[in-house]
Amino acid sequence: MQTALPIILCSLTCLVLIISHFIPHEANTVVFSQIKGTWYAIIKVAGYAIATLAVLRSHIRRLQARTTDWQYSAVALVCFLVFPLTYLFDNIRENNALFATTTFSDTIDVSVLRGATVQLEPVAGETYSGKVFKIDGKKRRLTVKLDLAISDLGKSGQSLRIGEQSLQLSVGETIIIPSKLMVVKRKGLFFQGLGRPLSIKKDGVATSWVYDNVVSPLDTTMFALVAFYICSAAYRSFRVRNFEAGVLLATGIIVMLVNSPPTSLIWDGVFPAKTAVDQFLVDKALINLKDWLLAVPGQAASRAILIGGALGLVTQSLRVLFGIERSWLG
Amino acid sequence: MWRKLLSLNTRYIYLAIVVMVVIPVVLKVPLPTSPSEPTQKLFDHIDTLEAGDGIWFFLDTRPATTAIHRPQLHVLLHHCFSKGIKVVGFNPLAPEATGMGRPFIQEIAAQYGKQEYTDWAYMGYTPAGLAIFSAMSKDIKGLYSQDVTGKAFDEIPVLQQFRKYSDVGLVITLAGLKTPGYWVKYAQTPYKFPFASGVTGPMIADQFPFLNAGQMVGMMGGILGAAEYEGLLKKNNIRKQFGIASASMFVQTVVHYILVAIIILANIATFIINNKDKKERQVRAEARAKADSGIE
Repeated sequence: MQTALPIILCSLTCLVLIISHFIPHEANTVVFSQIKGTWYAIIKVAGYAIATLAVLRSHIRRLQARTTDWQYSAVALVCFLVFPLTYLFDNIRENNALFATTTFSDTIDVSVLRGATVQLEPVAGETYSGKVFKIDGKKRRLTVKLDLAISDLGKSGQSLRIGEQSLQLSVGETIIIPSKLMVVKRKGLFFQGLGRPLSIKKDGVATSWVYDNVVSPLDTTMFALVAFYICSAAYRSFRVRNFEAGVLLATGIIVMLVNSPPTSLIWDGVFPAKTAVDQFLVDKALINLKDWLLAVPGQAASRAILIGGALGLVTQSLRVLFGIERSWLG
Repeated sequence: MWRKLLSLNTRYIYLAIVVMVVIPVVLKVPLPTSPSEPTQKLFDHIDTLEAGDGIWFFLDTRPATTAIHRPQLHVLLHHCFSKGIKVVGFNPLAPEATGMGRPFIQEIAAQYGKQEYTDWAYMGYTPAGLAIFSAMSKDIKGLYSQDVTGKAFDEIPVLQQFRKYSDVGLVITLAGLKTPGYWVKYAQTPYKFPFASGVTGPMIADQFPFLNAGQMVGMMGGILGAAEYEGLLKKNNIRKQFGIASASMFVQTVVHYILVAIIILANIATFIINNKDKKERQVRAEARAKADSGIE
């Protein structure tokens, strides 16, 4: 059963995808596309969860066993935890805000209020904007998260304060005058933001800081180091040992030289073109040669790889569909 | 001498590259380029779009390729914003790119006085994988409920105009991964929309089958592609000065020339050493043969 069930599930999934793709019936396009999208999202999210646990388990085991280079596992675990922690920190910070609660009359449509940006107007002073955070349709109660930072509360020219006060609330053209005084509170809603789509929000200070100052520079540095390794490797091992290696080297050198703007300037200076034919054969000879190398031999090789890869993929997919290929079971 | 040259310590090569790269980076001398056909076609396609049209761009990459994709996106945005074209960005295939898109757009939008949400928006990542290709042919609202700033989908005016492939004048992927092929296979071919790519240098050759088959309207290849696009912006009086991409060409040129020089030098050294060894072997073989004949 341990083997049969995953194979049946996999084959069924493959069949659903094949049917939805190759039979253009309305039922397929609507129903199966929905299933395809939802299934994929579920599998993807489950995959992330399993991968996270697998990485954690693997590195914790390496640490426990103190295997070779266990120190790298410690670093990996720290890095692995820092990014989610910054996200959590931002979440707490973001939800530590000012909230105003009020009631609204039965005449107001709840759908108008859902997720809307509202204006709060005290009797005197500034107007404050905020976003509808929570609606209780039964009790006709509304909570607004104010855009005003807690640290800005009580500054000059501001009449808003913590506690009960008279405020008028407007949503676009709709004006809500609460029957009771509106209550302004400072709240730290720990988990309220969780469950939203994964995003680095503009007020995600810690996440953005780690991304901009750690993740991005490290990733860019790793990529930049490739230039050094390429130069070193080219110096040590790019040798004309036979005819094919000679062709490869000549092609590489032509493409590299033509991709450098001064090459064309030098070429034009050495071989000035006088006629239109000269322009094609002499003036742009290097550029034309580079384009030809990329568009003809390069494209032929790319197509061969593409078609070969596609045929291999079809074969492998059929093997998975019929349950012949079982290596993915682990 | 030649043997010493071949067994040169790697650190000297690294040092030479550092010195030769730092100087052009500091000098920032722009090098004008002649546009290649794929870049010219991409420019021409965007130039045919009118004010109020929209484009979607996808950052299918990681921060590693910022040095390439930032200039590529910047030249696109200069062209779009100067013409009043609206821009929406996404990174559904690369979660690592979430922090990249919005700051990149903000830099250019500010120069043209373009407002977030009305003229442009950045949607970020959504965990839908390859399912995005078909979902985006219907309505992006099914994939995104808010943008990266947390603003609700329905409150972003620019999104209401451009909700599926058929609404936009161009879809372009700025890719550091193998995604342009996926875009062609799973999105452009079944849903038929103008599609282009901005890729890193090693990926350029892979794009030609799609370009020649008409599945891509154009392409920006590496930092050179961005520099070529900058040249076209200047030529068409959209920008007065060259930007970072043209200045980066100086660095690329230096590195390319160093690379070509050291490859040729190493091959000459190998050739001379091999010839010398061959001659020495011949001399030894002759001497051995003489000695052997003397014994007999």
